[in-house]
Amino acid sequence: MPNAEFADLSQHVLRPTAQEIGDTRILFFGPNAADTSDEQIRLHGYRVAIQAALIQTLRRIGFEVTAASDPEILFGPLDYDYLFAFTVMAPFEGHELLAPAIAAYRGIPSLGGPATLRPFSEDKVLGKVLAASLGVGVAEHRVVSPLSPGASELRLPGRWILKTRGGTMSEDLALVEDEAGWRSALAQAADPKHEGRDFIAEEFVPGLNLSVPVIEGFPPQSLPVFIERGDPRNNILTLGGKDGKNAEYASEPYDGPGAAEAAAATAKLAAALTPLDYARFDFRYDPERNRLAFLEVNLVCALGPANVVPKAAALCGVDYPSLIGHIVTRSLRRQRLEL
Amino acid sequence: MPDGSSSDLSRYVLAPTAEEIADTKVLFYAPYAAALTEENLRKHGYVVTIQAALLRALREHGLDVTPASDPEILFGPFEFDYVFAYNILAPIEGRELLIPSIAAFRGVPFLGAPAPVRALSEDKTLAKALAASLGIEVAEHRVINPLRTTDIALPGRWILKPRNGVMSREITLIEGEADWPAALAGAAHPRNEGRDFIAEAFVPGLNLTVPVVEGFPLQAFPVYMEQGEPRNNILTATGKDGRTSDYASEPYSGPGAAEASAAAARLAGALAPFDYARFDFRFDPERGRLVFLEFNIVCAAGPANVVAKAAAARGVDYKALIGHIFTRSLRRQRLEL
Repeated sequence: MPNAEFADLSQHVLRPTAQEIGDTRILFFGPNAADTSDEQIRLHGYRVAIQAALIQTLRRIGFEVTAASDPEILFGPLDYDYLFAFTVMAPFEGHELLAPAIAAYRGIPSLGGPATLRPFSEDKVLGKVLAASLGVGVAEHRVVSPLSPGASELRLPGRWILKTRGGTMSEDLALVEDEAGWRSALAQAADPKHEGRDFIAEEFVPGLNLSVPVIEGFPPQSLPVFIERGDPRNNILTLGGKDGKNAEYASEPYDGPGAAEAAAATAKLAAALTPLDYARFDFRYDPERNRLAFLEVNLVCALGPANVVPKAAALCGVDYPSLIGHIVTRSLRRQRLEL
Repeated sequence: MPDGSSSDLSRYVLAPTAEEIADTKVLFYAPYAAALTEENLRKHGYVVTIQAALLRALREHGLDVTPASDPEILFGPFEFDYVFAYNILAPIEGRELLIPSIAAFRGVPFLGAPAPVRALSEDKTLAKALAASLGIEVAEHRVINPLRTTDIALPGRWILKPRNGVMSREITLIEGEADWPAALAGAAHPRNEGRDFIAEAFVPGLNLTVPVVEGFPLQAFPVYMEQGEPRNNILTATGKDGRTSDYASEPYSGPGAAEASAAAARLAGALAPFDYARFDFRFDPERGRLVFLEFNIVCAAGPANVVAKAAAARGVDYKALIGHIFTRSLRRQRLEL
């Protein structure tokens, strides 16, 4: 049942037919999919629980699911009918689009938009390019190549976030507020572990984290906007918080100032990025200046029961198994040209 | 030798060292690379000549080059040190970025921009979004899925083409509302497998194209004008392939050239690194209006293509150009620049 404050979306849910279940062997690729033991959850946090929940749910629906964590499986015969793949957890350019590109080449339907649209999720600069082209506000930003001549001398006035251009899950993110901060952050960015990859310096926007879930097949703007709370000082979302390894993360529905603007901006972005199956669009909102800044889009984002997309669906009367069934069914029919 | 009117760029040319040549096994992947026969040349035109010329130029530098045309080579043991690859021919979404993403995953340097940026070269809609975000004018356009949209008929003249097309294939000029049903029916043909098309407002006038090769100063190369079929000056696949006579290109410095060169420089700044590319525009002389069409990363690079002709006009011969592109690309990815 939906919460009384929210629309009932259950009538829009698609469910796989017995035939679809019978003739669709799913390869579930996730970095921890092959071992979702309690020990792995203790080690890596909520991301493992997400993958366990998804595999279990797909199997309960009746699908035959092969779980894999080694990307080499993508280079084999790929004898499956649907690829449910999260990003390849290796720091190379293209980690979000390798699986959909291979699936397309093999002619296998896969979760999420085509490989050509996935860069807008992987590459934060391209995500902002798309937003700017649609008239959606973005924070001032610039690409930083930490190994380029003079890069270690970069200093910008004000407060900045320095983060990897193609990173995931808020990894390697630093708030830079002064000279010492720049020195330290740029030294970290130049660490050999990053192999010379680009970073992005983005103007720090104070205020709220607003996140807008989108599930294709449901009416635009029908899911509630969420507010995500991060670290207590600057409200920055951290990897530890997202993984449930510390208390620096919480999310709840939000309809205060900025929510309507975030929902409208998301509708424009989602239309430009369709088909995407489902996604989450992240913004910062400064209530003092009434300023909304698009941060990034996350295609094929985290999809555990405690993540924003399933929580939003649940408030609208769509429980977790129904949501996962809907996403896979619609994605499959879209790519089989049966929608 | 450069032409008399322009600066000689040969001092910027990078050439591979003996060590780089010895320790770099190159995989040259291109659709006809493994079968550069007269028969394929007759069947497929200049595209085969381009691949033969590239293979020869790489080998003339002394590189150990394995030519391949079967994409399955990408899925086996990847015992190469550099991948010089064109698109795979299959009409899939991601055909420009499949090889860069696999090479990056394997940790092998490769020709052209990283996979995320290649998406903007493959998808004309995304390239226009980049241009618009930089304040560069694009023609009015909209995505049309021919299986879902069967009743659209826009006033005016439009070009209907695949959203992810190459070499001007499947392009239709729509001259009035009555032309729409036939054009949409063509787009909906099963051979297109339900893929998106883009309808773009037709801009009359000139085709201007700007070659960019990284490692040379920005705006160092001349702008080129490409002439297409006589009626509407549209570039055709057969003209580009040399199978009909409706294609020609020559340096151009008339109205619109400076604006195209400046716009290409801004786009190149936003896209770097990409090794080399070509940026295509339409210029309407009557209205003084320049419109960005698309850019082509890892575009055709045969001796008669614009990139090579522009380099030759600045004193960089074909072998030197290919050696430069390869060397700079390799050093960039080995963090040796």
